[in-house]
Amino acid sequence: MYRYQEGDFNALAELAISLLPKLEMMARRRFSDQSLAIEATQEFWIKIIKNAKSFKHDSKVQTWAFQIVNNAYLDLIRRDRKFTIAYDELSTVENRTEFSSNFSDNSINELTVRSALGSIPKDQAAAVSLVLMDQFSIEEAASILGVPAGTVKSRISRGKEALRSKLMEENQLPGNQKHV
Amino acid sequence: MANNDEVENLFRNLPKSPEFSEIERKRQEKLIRSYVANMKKEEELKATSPLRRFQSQFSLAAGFFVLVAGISFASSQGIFDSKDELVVSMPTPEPPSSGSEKTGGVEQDSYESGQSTKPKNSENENSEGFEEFETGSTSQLDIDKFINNTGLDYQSDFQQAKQLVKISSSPLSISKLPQAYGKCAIELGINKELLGIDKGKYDGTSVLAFYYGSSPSTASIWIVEKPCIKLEKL
Repeated sequence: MYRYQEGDFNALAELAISLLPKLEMMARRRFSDQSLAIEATQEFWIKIIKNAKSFKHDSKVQTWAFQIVNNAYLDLIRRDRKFTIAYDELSTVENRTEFSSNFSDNSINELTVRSALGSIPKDQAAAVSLVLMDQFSIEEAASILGVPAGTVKSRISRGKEALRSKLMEENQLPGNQKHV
Repeated sequence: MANNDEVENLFRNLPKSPEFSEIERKRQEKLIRSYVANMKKEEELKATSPLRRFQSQFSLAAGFFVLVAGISFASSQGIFDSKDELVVSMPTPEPPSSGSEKTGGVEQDSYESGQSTKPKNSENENSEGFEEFETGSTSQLDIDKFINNTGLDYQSDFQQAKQLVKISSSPLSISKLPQAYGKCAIELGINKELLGIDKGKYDGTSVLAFYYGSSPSTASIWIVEKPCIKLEKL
């Protein structure tokens, strides 16, 4: 990173390439559809490259990169959620049935979970996605988010509660489910 | 009633996408390298642009001073005092001839493309009744001259390629292009503003560069790999 900030662009490319396996892993855990995962991976490294100049060396490069990736993902699902809402408002009941029939139960479940995650406060969503989706430890997530471990725990707890309410509304949790 | 552990399980058990193929990983690496290379070029352009601006302003100012100096020298020598000389220096209009319109057209054409069209004129000479056919085939020729083949690498020789490639000042007719090119232009959504095409390379791979935009000075470029895979927008 120092080399890039001193003008060595090849160093930036090497850095982004070295992060690719982890970015791929994060994208694959967040999107079951491979084309979406590929698109997300690309979006992730573009964000890292674009923000590289402003890196202040106050954390490890990897930690900083994961923070950017997590934010990029949350922005992505929030953007996606807005689109989904607009789509739902426009579509008829028949269209919805047709739409649903094109997806497996898993992907409907995934879409709903993603939509629910996009609807809860961003700090809670960030903690939940790092620990529950990427399976980072509480300490690792704390380091990525730049907050104490206790804060991560409470954000996850509040996040899970908010998600539970959202998913109950959507009938996605056992006992109320339609698609799971 | 569901509890929070169910939420946790739901997240932990979300289906994962399959692993990326080696080809996909290589493609991502390649994309990163080309993205960073473009960033570098943009940075370099930004760095040099104030110098260019200064150079053009300087040459403009220098030109103006030369002009003023020339006029003052001429007036001090009394050159503008003689009315006869002024009359002599006026250009006399050529009598209109059948070829004059065509010549105008050719000049316009060569201005647009930066390429001489003299051979076409010689073809038109001594041929009556050939003009109708020639009109159609000339426009096809026009299209052909905007299909370039520089063979240059757009990653390393972008500026050179940009200077060499001939592009039209008005959109090309897609129907006159080879089918694959036209189809790709439609896929890229640039069929109504396509100005030229160049066969070149990108990071060693054979590519097509589609030049498009509302005018040559503001043209953008899509670099695509066969059959029509978007690689980079420059």
